[in-house]
Amino acid sequence: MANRLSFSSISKSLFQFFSGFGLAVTCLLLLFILTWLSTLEQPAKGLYEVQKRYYDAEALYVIPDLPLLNIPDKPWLPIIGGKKLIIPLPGAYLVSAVLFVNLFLGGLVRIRKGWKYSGVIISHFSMVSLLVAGFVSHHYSKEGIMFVLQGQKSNYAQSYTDYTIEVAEIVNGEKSKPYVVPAEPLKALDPERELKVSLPDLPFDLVVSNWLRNSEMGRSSDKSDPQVVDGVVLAWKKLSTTEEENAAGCLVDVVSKKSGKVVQRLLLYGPNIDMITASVDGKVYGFDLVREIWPMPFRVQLDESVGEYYPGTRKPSFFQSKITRIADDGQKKFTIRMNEPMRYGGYTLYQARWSGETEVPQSGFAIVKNPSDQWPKWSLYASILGLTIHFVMKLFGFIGRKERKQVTAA
Amino acid sequence: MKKDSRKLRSKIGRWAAFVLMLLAIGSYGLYTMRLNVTQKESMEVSGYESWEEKVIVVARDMPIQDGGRIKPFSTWAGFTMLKLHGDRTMKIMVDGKKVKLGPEEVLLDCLFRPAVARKLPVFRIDDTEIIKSLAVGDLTQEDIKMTGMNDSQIDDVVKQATMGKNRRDRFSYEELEQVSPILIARAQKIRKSQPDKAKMNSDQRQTIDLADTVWLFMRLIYHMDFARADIEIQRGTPAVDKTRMQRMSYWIKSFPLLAEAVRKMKPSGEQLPPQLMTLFSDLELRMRRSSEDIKFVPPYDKNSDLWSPLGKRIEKVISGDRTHAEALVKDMVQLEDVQIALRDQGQGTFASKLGDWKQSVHERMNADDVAQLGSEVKYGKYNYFYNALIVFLITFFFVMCSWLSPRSKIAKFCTRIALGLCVFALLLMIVGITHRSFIMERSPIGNLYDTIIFIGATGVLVLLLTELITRRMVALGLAVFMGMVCMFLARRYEMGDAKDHMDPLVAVLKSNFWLSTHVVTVTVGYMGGLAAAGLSAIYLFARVFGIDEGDKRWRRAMTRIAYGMIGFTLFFSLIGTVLGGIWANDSWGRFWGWDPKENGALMIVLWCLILLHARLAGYLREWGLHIATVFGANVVAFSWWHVNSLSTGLHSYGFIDGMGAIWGFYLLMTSICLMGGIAAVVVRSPKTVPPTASQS
Repeated sequence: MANRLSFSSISKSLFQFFSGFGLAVTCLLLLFILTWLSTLEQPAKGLYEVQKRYYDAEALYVIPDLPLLNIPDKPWLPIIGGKKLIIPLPGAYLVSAVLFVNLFLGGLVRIRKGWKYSGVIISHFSMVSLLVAGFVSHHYSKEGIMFVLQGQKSNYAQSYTDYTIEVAEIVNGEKSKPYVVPAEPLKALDPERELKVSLPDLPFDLVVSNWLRNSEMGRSSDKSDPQVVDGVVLAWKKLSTTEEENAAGCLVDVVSKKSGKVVQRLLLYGPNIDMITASVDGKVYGFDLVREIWPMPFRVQLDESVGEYYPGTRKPSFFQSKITRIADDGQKKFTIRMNEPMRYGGYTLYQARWSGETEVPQSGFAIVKNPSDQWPKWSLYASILGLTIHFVMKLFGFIGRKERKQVTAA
Repeated sequence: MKKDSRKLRSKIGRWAAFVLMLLAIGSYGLYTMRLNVTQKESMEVSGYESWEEKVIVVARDMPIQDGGRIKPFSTWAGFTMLKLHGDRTMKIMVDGKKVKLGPEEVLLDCLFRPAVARKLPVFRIDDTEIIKSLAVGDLTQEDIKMTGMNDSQIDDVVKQATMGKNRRDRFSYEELEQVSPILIARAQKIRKSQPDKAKMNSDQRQTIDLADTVWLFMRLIYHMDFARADIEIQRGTPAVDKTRMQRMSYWIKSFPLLAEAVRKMKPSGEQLPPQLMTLFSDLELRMRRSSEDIKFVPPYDKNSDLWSPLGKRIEKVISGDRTHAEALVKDMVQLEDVQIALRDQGQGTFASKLGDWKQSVHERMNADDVAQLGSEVKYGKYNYFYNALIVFLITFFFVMCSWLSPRSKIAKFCTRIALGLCVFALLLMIVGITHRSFIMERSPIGNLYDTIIFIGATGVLVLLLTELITRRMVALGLAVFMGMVCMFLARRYEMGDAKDHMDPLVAVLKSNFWLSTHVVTVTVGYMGGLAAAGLSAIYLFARVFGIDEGDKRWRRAMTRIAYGMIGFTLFFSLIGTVLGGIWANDSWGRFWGWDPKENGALMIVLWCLILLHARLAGYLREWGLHIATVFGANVVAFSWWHVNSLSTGLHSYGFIDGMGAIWGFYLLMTSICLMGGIAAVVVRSPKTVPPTASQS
């Protein structure tokens, strides 16, 4: 009995803690601080890096690192005893998760029910659904870009930031179906960490090392240096604040499955267009470090690409792409404009870039696959409804009370 | 006894607040003047002949294509003048008399009387050390060669340019002409070493700005050289009609014949006669000068909307494309007539010829565009926001009077006047914003300038409505203050930015639906945050200075109003932010991208949520709520202004100047919070007590 009582009181305390105002205010305050700090860090570190540090699910805690008054290398917190003072904060994802629990328990379950509270309950519900939409988007959305020249077709999108390694046998100068080392494990690499990749259908495995997120190629005559491959070496380069501009590079050891020995060491560099080849067991294989490519379930044919600038300026006034969508269910004409994307099969295509200087105009379509694409819209409608009900009731309550007081005074 | 002492304290508090207000406004006025006033007397420009009113009237609605749209000469002149001079008007002394020149007058001088324009004190240099530093020999030999001077000559011209000048002073082009090649070489060097202006130091930025201004002025004074009709016909040139031959149009018309003659000479190895060589280089120079980006001639091709500069058209014609040669020559002749009229017959004929030119351009434009020009000239003439500022300043005086003697007859009279004037100023702002929207053919907010005037107007409107509900004179006072500050800020921002904020928007922003929903709601959210902070600041001042005479009902009412205003802010900020996300989802493919501007909006939402929940939970009582609400103004300022200076993100406006003002605002708001915090600790905010007998 005593056990049951204590369990009940503990669970009650836990419920009260997780549904309480204290936790809500703490989470909101933490999110406020994290948002502020991450905004201030952006100019120096770039959006990609800041997102990774503050908002990724893996970022359980974050140590803010922003220069004081934008002076590089001058930390914002004092140096005590030669050591930088640090204040670790919980990551935004973790805080959001706790806030979600708090909002659900406190704002939907524990809250007093009744007409008076209907607006607040609807608003809380809208926020819960917005957080869920954010969660789904964070984990399951994918985005890339597709460039198509006018008159041509394409059926794949390429990631803005993530690299993969493609390995394909070269037969009669043609690339056969490639094996792909996925982006996720490569993203976790750094110059010190190696990645062993097993390729079940190929006579070799790979060891990826010396991963540099941003690099440049240089010449070196030092044959004793294991980093030098065919007189070429990769040099570390300061990360650009725009992740798309970073050029990754790495060393890849091709390890024969038969002998277990390194057959060849290759140097792969992102911006290189040509594949690097290696012979293993008499067969030729091509290796390429490329931005991750993902196929689409339909083809896009660019019929017309139009772009205009305001007269006498380089300020864009209008972009438009007339396309034919070719899918299993047939062909359909569609016009994609700024603010008017095409949605089909779970994918959304946006007019992101346009180039008219080239001989043939080219359109760049941002492609997003996001299962929670339209959820924020529904959350918005709910929050408008909820907040309107609540604040209108409050306003009338305020006016009514005032009038009542005036009548009493009279 | 206690009541009397409270009243005395309140009176002292009111006077203290009044003095503080005067000091604040006075300091701001002095700060503003500091930017525009130089220490010396206005510069003497002897023999300056003022433009007659009829010339100005004709010139005002002459169309010019600039910034991607067709605008009247008066608008273009206004913003060009801001770029050149940092002000829309210029004061000079003419034979001992002070003369004020407007933008149209100065720009007419630049285009049609360049010799006069050279003498005008166009350039304001805040730190003449920028000129003096040009003598420091850090230019490369190549750069020095470009200037056409050696080191000692550079020293001499720099000394000459700065002789007798103050640290902050006005300069004419005549005074800067000698140093301008060095200045431009230095600017090029700076740009090469640091292309990003945001990362330049203050001296580098000032040098770049001055070089750009000088370059702009040079383009203006040389642009009409093609129409001067003063081509020198040297001895030995076969002259049929010397007067006609002095016109560039003559040579453009007869260019095929001239080119043919040259072609015939060349194969036989004959050298071109020197007088012909001189003529050619003169023509080429005039053509190049009129190729600079000043566009006042409509396109000849009906399918084109590009008003290219006349020099570019001349270039096309002389390079063999004579499709529109006849129309070009006709235009050139007409513009030459305008210039000749001014030179030979005076301003009366000049106005008439300029009117003929304008008429011919209007006839080539569509009627809507011409009507729009007239409307824009009226917009400039009515100067709604400046007039609203003047009305607010007068209203502020009445508000202060009523405030200093509360409950008196004078106070009632002043309040009524203030209310009337405030409504009038609000109407001026509303009409101004509506007029702008009609000219721009878009929703009222598309850039930072638009947000300032919109926040001013909506702030005054909402606070007047609050006054209507609460009738405590607090919201009215704040409405006047907010309107005044916003109009000041709009004026300062426009002058500092020197950009036409009615220019069209980039493709992604061209959506009246989203501009009228997301942008408007977010901006109303900013306004709500600032209004709430203003109300809470009044509460804190009233309590600290004892102005409220210990009236607990007043305090409770103020807390309810501030709390309601936080709710208002949350409503608009949250909906605006989510609408922004939906727009971003439709145009960029993501709902949320942690862009600084998005983060700023989120921070306002979070701050409001923190306040509302902390109040509900009892963590914030009256003092705490008001202190936190005042701090909310910092959050709004961060979102509204600060993030733009970070030069990152999709919403970045490239705004880099004026950070001092933002830090000043943070300091002021934080000081008020600290003042409130200290007072709260001292007073130890008492729990709610029953109203006193007198209050009952």
